[in-house]
Amino acid sequence: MADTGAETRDEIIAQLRAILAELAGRLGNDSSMLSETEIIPNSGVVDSVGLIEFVMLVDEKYRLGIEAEDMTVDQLGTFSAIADFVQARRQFGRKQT
Amino acid sequence: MAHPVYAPRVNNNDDTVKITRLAVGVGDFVRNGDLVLEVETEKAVVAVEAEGDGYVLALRCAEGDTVPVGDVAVWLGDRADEAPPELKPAQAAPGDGAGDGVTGKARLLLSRHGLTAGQVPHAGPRLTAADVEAFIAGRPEQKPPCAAPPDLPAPADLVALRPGERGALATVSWQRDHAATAFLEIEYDPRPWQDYAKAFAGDRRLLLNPMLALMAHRLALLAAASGANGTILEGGESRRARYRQVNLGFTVQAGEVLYLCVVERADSLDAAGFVARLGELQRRAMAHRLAPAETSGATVGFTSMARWGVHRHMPVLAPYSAVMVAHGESFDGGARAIFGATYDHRLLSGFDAARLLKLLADPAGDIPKARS
Repeated sequence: MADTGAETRDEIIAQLRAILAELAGRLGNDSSMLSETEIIPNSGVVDSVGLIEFVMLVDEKYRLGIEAEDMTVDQLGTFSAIADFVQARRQFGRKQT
Repeated sequence: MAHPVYAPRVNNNDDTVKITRLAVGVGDFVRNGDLVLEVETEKAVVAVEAEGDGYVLALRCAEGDTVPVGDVAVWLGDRADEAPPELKPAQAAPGDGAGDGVTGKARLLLSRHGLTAGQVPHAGPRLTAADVEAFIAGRPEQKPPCAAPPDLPAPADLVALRPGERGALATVSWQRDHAATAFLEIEYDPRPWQDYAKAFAGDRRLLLNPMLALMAHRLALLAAASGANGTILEGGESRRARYRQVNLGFTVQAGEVLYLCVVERADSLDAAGFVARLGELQRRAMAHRLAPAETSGATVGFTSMARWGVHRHMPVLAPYSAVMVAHGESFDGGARAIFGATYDHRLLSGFDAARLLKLLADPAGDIPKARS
């Protein structure tokens, strides 16, 4: 489903949870117990390839234009960080370097 | 309107490519993404696909031809009866018979069969359809494109391979027909690699575990310093080609498609640069958005099946490469793992391959000086 651009932070996190749950489920894992601030790569619910897929789906859904320098734990490592990232991109667009 | 399919640039150093396969004939209808032709240089075989739907109007080359990069190899058009640009009277070369010396029906036949008027002798003052038909009838008979093998064990439907499948077939066939492959493996303790990757990721706050990328980067450095970055060229007097750069091929399974993403000049990148570049290619592979140049020209390969819990496997060499390293899932509580290598025995001995893997197993080991 395409992003409407009008979700609240809580709604974004709920959407992120649903995306990750689908990917984790394919590997036979359950991601429902992950907290908002738990580091997803450390949780083991998806492997590196699953994590790439997760980032791609998030990128596509929210049209973030994620690039190599964004692939950090601080930017995309937790539900909370991703929600902040989405909202910052919506508000300010891509940071110019 | 006619659209050209050009002979692509495969390597920066090659200004010509050899046409190894024409997958279409004049009059065929091709869809966007269908294979049109395959070209090769000394380093790679590349499939050229249609960038839109259309009818094949003319072939400007034949299998086995060596053509300049950028030349038109095939003309596609929106209508089957369009004349390709070179056959339009306004653009016809002097003396090729196009224009007033060619009847309309003859021009249509020429276009359908990828011929020029100059190729076809004619009895009377003008080139007629009968002349063209006689010329075509006198050519050697072409084999049917997909003849059924005579001894299939049961009735079968014959299905054309998709471009990705054709690429995989070309790779496997190169190994079967050209390389003298051997395989060996070593057991190692993967924990130093895990610790190194963890520290590397922690220092840079990386989202993805960089261990496989770091292993591949070390392989690139080791290959550059050894005889593993080359191939044997046959035909006439056999020669050993030693590449001046390492193009590291790394397998990425994206759904049903297996890509070999190629990091060019991997040996000139530092570890962080390599990890970032490979990560970018992996993301594009997962989205099926790799450019053809990003999947060709590997000189050394690395692959892992750890994701599927596979401890050991025997990979296939990329064409014109001498080694493909296989990484597997660790076992025995994470204390043991296996590196395997398929290698071309014409270029590397078992000792060479084993030494390469031993050096790869130690993330902190020095890279030996390059052989002169």
